[in-house]
Amino acid sequence: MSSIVHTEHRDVIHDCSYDYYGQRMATCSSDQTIKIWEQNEKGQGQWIVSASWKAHSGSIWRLSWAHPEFGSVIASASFDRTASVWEETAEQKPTPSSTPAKRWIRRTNLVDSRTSVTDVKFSPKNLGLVLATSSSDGIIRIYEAPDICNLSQWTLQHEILCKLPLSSLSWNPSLFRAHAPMIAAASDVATSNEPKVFVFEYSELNRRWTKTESINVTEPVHSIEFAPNVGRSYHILAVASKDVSIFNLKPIVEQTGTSRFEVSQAAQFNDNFCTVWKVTWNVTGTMLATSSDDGYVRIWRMNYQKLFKCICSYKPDSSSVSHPLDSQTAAIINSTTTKFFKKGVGTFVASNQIQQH
Amino acid sequence: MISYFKNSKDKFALATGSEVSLFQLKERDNVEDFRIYDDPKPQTINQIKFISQHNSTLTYLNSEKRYQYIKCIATSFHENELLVATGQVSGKVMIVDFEPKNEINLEFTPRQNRPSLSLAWNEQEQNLLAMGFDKNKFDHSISVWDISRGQPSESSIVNLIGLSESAHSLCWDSRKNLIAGMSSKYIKFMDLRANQVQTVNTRAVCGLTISSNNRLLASYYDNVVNIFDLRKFTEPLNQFQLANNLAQISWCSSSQNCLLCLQKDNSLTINIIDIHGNGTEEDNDSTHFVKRVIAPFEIVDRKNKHQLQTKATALENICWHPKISSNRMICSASNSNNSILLMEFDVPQRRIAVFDKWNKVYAPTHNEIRDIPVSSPPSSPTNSTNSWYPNANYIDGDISELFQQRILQDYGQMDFERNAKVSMDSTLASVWKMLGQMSAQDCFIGLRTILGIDSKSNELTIAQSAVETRSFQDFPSGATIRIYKSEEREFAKELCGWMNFDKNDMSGNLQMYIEELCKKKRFTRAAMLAVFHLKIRLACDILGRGANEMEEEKSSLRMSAIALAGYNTGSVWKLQCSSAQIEDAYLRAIFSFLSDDTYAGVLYEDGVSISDRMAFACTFLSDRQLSEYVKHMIQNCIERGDLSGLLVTGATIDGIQLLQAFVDRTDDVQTAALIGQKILPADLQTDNRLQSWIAILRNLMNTWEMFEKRAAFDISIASARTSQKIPKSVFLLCSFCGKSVSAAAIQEDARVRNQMQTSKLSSCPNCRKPLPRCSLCLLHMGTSLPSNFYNPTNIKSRNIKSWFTWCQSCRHGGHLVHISEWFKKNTECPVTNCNCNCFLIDLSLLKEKKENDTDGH
Repeated sequence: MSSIVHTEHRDVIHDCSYDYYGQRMATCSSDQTIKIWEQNEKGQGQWIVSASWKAHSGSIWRLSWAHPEFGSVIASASFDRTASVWEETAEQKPTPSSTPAKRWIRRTNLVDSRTSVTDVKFSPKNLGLVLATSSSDGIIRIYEAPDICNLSQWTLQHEILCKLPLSSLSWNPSLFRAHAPMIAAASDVATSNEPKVFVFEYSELNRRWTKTESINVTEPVHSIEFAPNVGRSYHILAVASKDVSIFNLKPIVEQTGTSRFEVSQAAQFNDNFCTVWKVTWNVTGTMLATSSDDGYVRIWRMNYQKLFKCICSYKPDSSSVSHPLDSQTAAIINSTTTKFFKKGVGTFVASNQIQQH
Repeated sequence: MISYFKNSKDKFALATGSEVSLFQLKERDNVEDFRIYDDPKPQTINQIKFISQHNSTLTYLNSEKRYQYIKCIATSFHENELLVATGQVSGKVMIVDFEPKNEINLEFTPRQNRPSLSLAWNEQEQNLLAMGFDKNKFDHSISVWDISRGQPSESSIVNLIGLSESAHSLCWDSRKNLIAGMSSKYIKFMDLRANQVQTVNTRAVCGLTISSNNRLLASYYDNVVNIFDLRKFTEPLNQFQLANNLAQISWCSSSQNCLLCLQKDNSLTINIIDIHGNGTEEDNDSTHFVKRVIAPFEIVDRKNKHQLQTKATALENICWHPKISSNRMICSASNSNNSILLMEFDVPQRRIAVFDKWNKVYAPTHNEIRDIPVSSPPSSPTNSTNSWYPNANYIDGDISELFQQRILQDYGQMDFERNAKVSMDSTLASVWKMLGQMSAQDCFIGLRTILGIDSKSNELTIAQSAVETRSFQDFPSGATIRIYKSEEREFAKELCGWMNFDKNDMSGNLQMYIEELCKKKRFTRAAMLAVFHLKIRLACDILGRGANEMEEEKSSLRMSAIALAGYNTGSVWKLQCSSAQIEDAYLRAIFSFLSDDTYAGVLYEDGVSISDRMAFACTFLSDRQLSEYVKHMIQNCIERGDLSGLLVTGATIDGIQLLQAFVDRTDDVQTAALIGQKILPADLQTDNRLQSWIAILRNLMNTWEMFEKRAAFDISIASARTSQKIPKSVFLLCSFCGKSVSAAAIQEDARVRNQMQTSKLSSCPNCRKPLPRCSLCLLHMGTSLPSNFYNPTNIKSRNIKSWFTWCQSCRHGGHLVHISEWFKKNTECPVTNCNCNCFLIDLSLLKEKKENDTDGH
């Protein structure tokens, strides 16, 4: 059966995020706490809480891990109108033999927003230690830590005004140097019929962020995410709203230097029928997991024709997996996670050493 | 109307028209997803269908139908009694007990005849029933009745409130205060014992309901829901506007933060308002609301498309289960057949799903983390009933999975042949093999460059070639064919794998190659090659042999052989060939070649490999045609992202474009990065695209913690760039003038060498200050040692042994050879009066070094 761990959050979990190596997981909830989880054995052990603390005085919406180069750092965005950056620190050892106690310390509290901070995301590593927040007042704020060793100092570099209350943002994770830094943001306003998804690009020339595209999704959007770019010449953006839409953004090369995108809808799934809360891509941007109001988690995969197929829909409450090609449900024979980690075993010894350096 | 008995786990009352029925739900053990039951039913109802998520069974127990049209019902809190109060159109309130042994039968009739609007039992004093009526000038709208005191009388009616008002809805709070929404104007908050009344003006007077923690009160009017905090009753905490007028609102009885709103829109959706952050904190700033929409019947319909013939059309009523904590509800819906659909349904918990780096999906809710099971193959292969197995493993076939497998097999770190095996894809394998051929020829520039075709200009840049007219050598038919020859074309053909097929060499390599193909049972390809080398006879033989050896394709091969043997220049034969529908691509190419002078059937035959087609084009196309064809081929390959086009484009900008198209099509950044890194020349290695592919691949390896493999990849990248010398990183400075001694020494050396004089650099070449001396031999540093100098150590490097070394703490030193000799016997510094234990300081380092040395020997 699938492994079940009791989180003991007292309220709804809003976000769950893995660190770079996928060894640690952070969850945040409306109960105002952040919990850090570690697996007790590499790969297949139980998830165990390694830290849990009350981080904000309001619901915590989103979490983001910084690249491990910058240390064990997470950022959180909360309803209490702040975003915080937390760092794990080792305290002085009480005795030389004991393992040092680890604690998460608030390094900074970003209080520029007057309203709920709805999302926070660290930028791709190649831009340095940069943080973007979105808030209900419709402003994307971009902070930078000029000194990566000093996490308590963040300067507000840019404020991008979007007018609509924002619900989610996503950095384009492209490592391609020719791609300018790019952020997509979305709004969950229910009222008007205007587009709810915007794409902004940073122009090195003007030293400012400009809106390059608005994507025509008129339903309230709850979550957006760029797919990890595996060398594709275009970007893929998944949008969770009443349904799931996937957009391809293909850069159009123009002489003027202003960049435009050819936006095309690659897929739209109505199967969820109800509101979709979150979309996440796998590490290569070839599979998408969506979680919707009907309690189902669906996994979609792009096939060779670039079409998305639902390959798995899972309702955790009823402990059954159903597969669309075979509508009958089936009991699950010992599911196993070992398969994937066995392959990595050979490298783990080395990995430990490398991490320590 | 549905209402659970609050203190019973499994019984509920269902009011329909003039009948109240009692049902029981029993949960069975084995859980299946949705089950539908047709069950015995009360008489007045046409049909009841029951749907459950929990494999529950519905049992009809009893019914009571002495009523007029029922306006509202309320089930009581009594432990042992199943009391139902029903309010009717006439205003009559009747109480019935379904428990057979109890004989309660009470009735309340208001003084003035008007509809009864609401009923509410008190949870603490279970015998108290509040009844609300429509407006009447001469009567009170709310009566509170203590039913333990029997039939309505002076003593049993405890309170009469609200003369000439109407009471739209009623509820009790935990402290026996009655809350009533009255006259569409205000909500009254009444302490019946102290006779205190608090009034809040609001239009939202319908559907008053109080949350299970007695903190929040909700009510509605039209399409607006108001939520009040009872501690701060004056202002609504929040207001929600829904699309349609509301029919019912109700707090979930098990969780404290879930309000369901049912609209009168004849739809199947339920709106649920989740309230977060109001659990413990005192300040309401932290409270926020999330609207959700669920549609229980839709979910079932989608799951059991063929089973549920009677489709629900509109939701009518909903009741939360009073005990079960998983937000269970029972909802009723009508359908077109005038039957009732009942459904037991758990409101799904809001959960989020995240992928981890290994493609596993985790789906946490507020109280648990689950991973989505990835089914493993059934343990016994004989169990063929598991038809779901092939796609049960959703991870299978994802490209990231493939990347990992390839990395573990050192994909890209080996020669082309082995990469072909590891690539786990037959087309990629052939691409790697092709690249292997190109690398064997050490020629990655591609056919386009070899042939001298400029893809941008329209002018003919191809080298002029000689035209020869040939006839079919072993098949006298009188037909002749033009072939084109030039050095470039021959070389290009070699690269295509047609290397040794010299036209004049009748017996040699062609036959060997063909023999090999025949052994692999690829007769049609062998025949095609034979025909393209103008050997029709040989081709016929091959096909005939194929027909003998291949059982299943016997007839088609035989027929082809016959047809081929009949080749002549006549129009009948050609016509038949061109209209024939042949399955095998190679056979198609043969007949098209022989019947069509434009060769289009060969050139654009996708079933034939690009290398064969290119070699064919190099043989039979004129310069202009060939040039056009190559351009077309490149364009086509780039459009389709077909990597075998690398043969044509070579390691050029076009090649990178082709790789990019391949990545766009397949997401296989790994192959693109590895091929690019392996074949591209140094000036293209810095291309942005290639750099980003390499960065992406390294990033993936890092995420998967395959650090060793990544290091190996880094090394292979670095070693590809070997030719650049690694610049010196250590310099020796003169302590007087601060300039580099070693750099000058090299220059000096060059000058000195000319003079055939080998030594004497005893001073800094810049400032002419003497260099320090070796503390043992007392010669100046930098001085070359005499060649016959006593040299007991076996340090092999001449350059190093005469170089200096010194102790980092006392700064004394000398020639490496002398110092190491000294420290073999001593631990102290060789300089008199210096007590530095130089040797011991670096002992650990030295030990390591020694170990390394011994390892090395």
